[in-house]
Amino acid sequence: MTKNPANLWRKSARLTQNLGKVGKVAAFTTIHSAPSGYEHQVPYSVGIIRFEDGTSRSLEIVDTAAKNIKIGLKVQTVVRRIGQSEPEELIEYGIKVKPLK
Amino acid sequence: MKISVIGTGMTKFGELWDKSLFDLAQEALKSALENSQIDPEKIDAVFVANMLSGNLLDQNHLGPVMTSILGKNVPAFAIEAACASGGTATHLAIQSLLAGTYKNVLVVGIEKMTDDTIADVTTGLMGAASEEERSAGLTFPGLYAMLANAHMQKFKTTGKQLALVAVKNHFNGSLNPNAQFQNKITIEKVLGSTMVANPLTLFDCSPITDGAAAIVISSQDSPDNPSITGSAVATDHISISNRLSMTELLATKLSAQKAYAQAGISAKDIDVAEVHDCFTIAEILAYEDLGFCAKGQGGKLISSGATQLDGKIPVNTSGGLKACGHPVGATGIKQIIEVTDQLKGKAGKRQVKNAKIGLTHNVGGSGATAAVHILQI
Repeated sequence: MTKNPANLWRKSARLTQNLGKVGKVAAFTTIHSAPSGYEHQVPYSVGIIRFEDGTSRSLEIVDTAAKNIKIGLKVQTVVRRIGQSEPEELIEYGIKVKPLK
Repeated sequence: MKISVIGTGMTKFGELWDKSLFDLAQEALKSALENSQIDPEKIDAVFVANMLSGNLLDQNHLGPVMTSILGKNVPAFAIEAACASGGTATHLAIQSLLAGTYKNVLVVGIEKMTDDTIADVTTGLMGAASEEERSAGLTFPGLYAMLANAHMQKFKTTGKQLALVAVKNHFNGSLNPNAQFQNKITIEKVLGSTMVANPLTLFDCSPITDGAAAIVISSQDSPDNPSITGSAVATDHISISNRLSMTELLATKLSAQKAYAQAGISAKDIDVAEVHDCFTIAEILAYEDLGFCAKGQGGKLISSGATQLDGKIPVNTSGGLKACGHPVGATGIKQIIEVTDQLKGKAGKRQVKNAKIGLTHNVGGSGATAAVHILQI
């Protein structure tokens, strides 16, 4: 179980560092067969995002249909719920990206 | 000092519902010992490669599980390097022989995967990736799908070229009685199958498999058996996003260069190779990173037929991970067994003519570990 209080507290304390970042999609996929905790989201898109500050991360791409995602698409970070928690687990929030309007 | 593969043994790979982890280990281990004709008293140590027995079966501490079968009190070590556990365990076993600590060792690779749900196995396999990638909801097909996406964009590699890898490996699997899938497939079948992670369909992916494979390796000279003349392991950043390139696996390149140098050969000397085709794109990347062709030319190499059984450089004669199956910990050991059989002329209907130098290439995660071995006879 990784959605335990200490782990989520540690991660959420660092969450703000990644807010307001802008970057581009360097590669992407749409997941049709998901791991536990993500089955309800299928299909969903994930990409490698190269940020303007030189950092890179794999992040879920939200608020757009898969057909609109291309390599080079400009995106910005947003806070969203991460996966689905078991009834006795805490709800995890983290970073995803959406197309930059 | 020469390191020889003096005995090999493996179970059939597949959905083996009637066999437990212990049954699989026992079968492979005993058959390798028998094949080597070594007195079991002379086995100095056991190296066991496995990834998921703790996650899926609540069984850790696999070293003594193996020595329980052996009925001996020798040292035993469990090695985990995700899907490269087998190659990594072999590398460590070789180091123990080179150091002179042991003279004969048993290397066993094992995985029991098909009792569990796909979501549980998918989650377990993601233990080979990074926390960042798990939080993004990525899966292994998803990670390799992103590599495929980048390769297709940069080098115009096509879905049809990827599909050809699966078609070739299923053909080879149809000639291997130990393969999980022994049916031939078509390009249309691959392209038309269920999407797993764009652009990879179900038939671009290696299956979930039960199986075990074991080898006995020795520092005693054994002229009838292949020698391992190169053995190298390299690593890379655990997250794909932090690597230098998305169109090569640097760990493959580095371990291959080191292994070639140790053996005093180059890529063009390889007669037969077992490479890590966990997904079709992975075999394309392997062609390029092992030096079988230039970067970006992997798609053209598969289209040319050069890697077919009757081609210039036959790849994955066993059927590869795609058709022979991928019991994670066992895969790297199975690769050594297939190349050993090829070099000894014992590969049956899939025998490559005059194979003298073979290569095995075993990758962990999305390329964070790679192990390359060169075998010669």
